[in-house]
Amino acid sequence: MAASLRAQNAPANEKETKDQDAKHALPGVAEAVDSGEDEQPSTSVDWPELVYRIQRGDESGMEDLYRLFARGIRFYLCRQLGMQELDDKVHDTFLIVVQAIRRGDLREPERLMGFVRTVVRRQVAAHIDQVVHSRRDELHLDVGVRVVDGRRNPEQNMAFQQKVDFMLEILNQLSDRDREILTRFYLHEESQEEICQEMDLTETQFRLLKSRAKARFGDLGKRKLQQKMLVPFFSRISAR
Amino acid sequence: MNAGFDRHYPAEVWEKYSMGMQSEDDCTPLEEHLLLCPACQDLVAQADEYIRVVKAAAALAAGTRRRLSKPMAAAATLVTALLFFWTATFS
Repeated sequence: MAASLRAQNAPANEKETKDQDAKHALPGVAEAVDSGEDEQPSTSVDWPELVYRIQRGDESGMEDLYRLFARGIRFYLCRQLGMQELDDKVHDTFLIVVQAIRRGDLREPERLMGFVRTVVRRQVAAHIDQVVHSRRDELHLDVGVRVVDGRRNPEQNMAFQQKVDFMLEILNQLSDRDREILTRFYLHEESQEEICQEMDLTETQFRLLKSRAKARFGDLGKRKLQQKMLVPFFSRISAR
Repeated sequence: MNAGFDRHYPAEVWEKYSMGMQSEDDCTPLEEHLLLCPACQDLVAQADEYIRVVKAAAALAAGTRRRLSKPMAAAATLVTALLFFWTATFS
């Protein structure tokens, strides 16, 4: 049965900060996962017992399955396919998992996690396949189907642009060599090994550069945010 | 059998995952963990956003440099030619 133990290495205050950061992450993902269960999974789940309860038609089995996987499935589907019809897709996935368990298709109950992952991946693949086919056959194009709904609202667009400006500021402060390293890794997606070899870098130097850029991005973001919060304060003070 | 949730994967691992740089074999345990771990889901969401931001900023920076490089090269050529002319005339 699913216990509500908090996983190690995730102190509450750290989690709160991460939640704040996640709210500003991928558009849709934060909102999508917010509507799911936010409970940290158990450090120990008895999978065969859970599978047995689902096979028996026990309501608690279904509840535990949903509580354990709802957030993760939503997150995965939203990340791969976007927000569109997300609830339906999550529901379909659960239906497939539960029906398969009841039919006895899950031969190794202790591999339930892997089984759920396979079902979710197949759902994603099927959806993409459907989109590709409908695009190929334009006469029967289903206009409601998209692979990823990457649209952002104006507020999200503005926040994203602000982050890009911060990062541009950081990149412009770097030496040509450091900027080239980051560009090759993030923009051209060259592997770490390739970059290190060609630019005569150690793995530590590479990791240090990346983590410093990330830390500076975080600091600059926080500083700008504080300034932004202080502007109305100072305007009020100066108006008096 | 018990599922192992004693630890989270570090942000660096999720960054590689987010960039599609993990092998298929490595993705299996990561995605199984991700299905059940909200803390790591947040790390992936942050990594996704950070990568998009760096990509956009790096592309802008590269574009600016490319745009500037032609006029700069033309200016450098002109200065060199003037210097050459100057030294040839007055020496």
